[in-house]
Amino acid sequence: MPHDPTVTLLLVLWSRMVRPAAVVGITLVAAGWALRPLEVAAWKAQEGWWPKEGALGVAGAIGQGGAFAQLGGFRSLAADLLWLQANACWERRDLAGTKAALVLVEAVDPRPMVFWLNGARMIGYDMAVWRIEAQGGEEAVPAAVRRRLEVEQALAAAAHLERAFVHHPDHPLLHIEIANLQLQRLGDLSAAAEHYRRAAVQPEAPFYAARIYAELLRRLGREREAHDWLVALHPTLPPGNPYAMADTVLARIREMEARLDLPPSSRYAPGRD
Amino acid sequence: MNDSLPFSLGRVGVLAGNAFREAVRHHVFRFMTLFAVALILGCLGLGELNFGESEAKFIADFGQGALVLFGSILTIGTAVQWLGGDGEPRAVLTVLAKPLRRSEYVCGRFLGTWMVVLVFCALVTALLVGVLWTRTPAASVEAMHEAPLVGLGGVSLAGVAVAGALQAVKFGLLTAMVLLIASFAQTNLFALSVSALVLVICHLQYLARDSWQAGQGWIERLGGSLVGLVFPNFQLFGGGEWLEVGVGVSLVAAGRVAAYGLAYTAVFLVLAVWSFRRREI
Repeated sequence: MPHDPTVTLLLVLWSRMVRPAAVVGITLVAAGWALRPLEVAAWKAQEGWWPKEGALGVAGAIGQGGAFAQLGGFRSLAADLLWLQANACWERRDLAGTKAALVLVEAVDPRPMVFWLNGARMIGYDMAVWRIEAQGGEEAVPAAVRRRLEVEQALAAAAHLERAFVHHPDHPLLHIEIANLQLQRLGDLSAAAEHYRRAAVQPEAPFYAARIYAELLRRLGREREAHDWLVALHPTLPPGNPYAMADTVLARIREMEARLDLPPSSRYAPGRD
Repeated sequence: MNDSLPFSLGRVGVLAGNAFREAVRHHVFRFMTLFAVALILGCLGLGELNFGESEAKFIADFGQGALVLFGSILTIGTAVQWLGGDGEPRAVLTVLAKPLRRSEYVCGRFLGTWMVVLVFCALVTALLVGVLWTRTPAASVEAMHEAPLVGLGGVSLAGVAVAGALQAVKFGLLTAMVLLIASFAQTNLFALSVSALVLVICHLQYLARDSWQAGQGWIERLGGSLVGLVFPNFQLFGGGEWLEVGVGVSLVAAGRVAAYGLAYTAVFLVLAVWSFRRREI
């Protein structure tokens, strides 16, 4: 049989490179497939800990420091340094720099709530003022333009906070911050009330969220609903906790009952089911 | 070839002991341990930088960072030299000249390297617990006596231990992966480079999984699925998130991740043995 060098070379390539690589590849794919249920279950529990693909792309923009933080685990330190950078830009009223630094902070370490909340305040309140000043100040900018800039920044801040829900699902402080933007900048009482309600039903919600929700319902003309909400709330408030303000809640219930002119049988009696 | 010999755990133990002693005497172990300790102690001076988290969480996160970074360097640096290449003046030849199966050699080297990394993880974790303990207010320490899982500003001492243990499991997996790479690498430089690259890919594997599930077009999804299936997901082992075990993270989830890591380790070790048996030395 003639000895063909090409065939020999192909056989050597097959035996030394292609076949081993194929065996390793197929085994690893099979192992990956078999272990996938375990991986999916474990990953589901911690998916919110890690930034998404897009965010990592931004993190890549800060170079080795970001990659180092992602891979090495120094996320807190990297995020803190970026937060310093964001604040330095904020002091200079550098809109682009502050926005970029906030995105990087979010990408590197989305866990600390303080970054999300303070970042949203910078975007929603401060940046609107900077943009107005950049166009000549309040005197020079027409009211309609000022309003448009305020709305744009408030919506950007709300979008920033919505991204935080991936990492902190239904966190009450995020709902409250969005509600404040709706209330103070966008003037949407209904949306603000809904966010206060969603904050109030969370286990770690501050007591004031439920009270403000009732107040917003009252302002929306839904006083009976507000009354029922406070009546349901009052028995759950710890009497010894000054932040719960149980007496204030009871006083508001009485005021509402008077305004609604409820008959004595429909009025709230503490301690009665 | 001595592959007609029956597999002996005794020979594996002797080889593991030798590998452990050699690795502990190696500069890589001393320097990595020294750097990790220095970094953890040094972070005490950076306490003013903890804007987003409590000081305890910042220290714990920083310590985990040191463990992950220097542990990875130690694992790769130690494991890469065992299976030939151009390192350790071909010491592998003298060992394999003895009545010994190649599978025993690989398993012994694996266990020896893993033991070194376990010692490193135990040292760094113990130091981290000690540092956290000294920085904890007296009231929190009293509370911890009553309930050891009580969080110190979002961190629990049990969580620090679990995080350290999971990193040790991950380094075991990394050791097996490096041995597989070293089993066919012709030079240590090649093995080192590829191992470092694989480490990065494994840390970013979750992005490939995302592309697999929600990629645009079949090419992206196919690529994502291949990377997602071939490489283990190192992010499961976390950077600092397991520090919250008992506070916000469950021990069952940690056990599931450990099982995942150990199963993958076994697969890579079997492949390393298979590949090393085929190697011409």
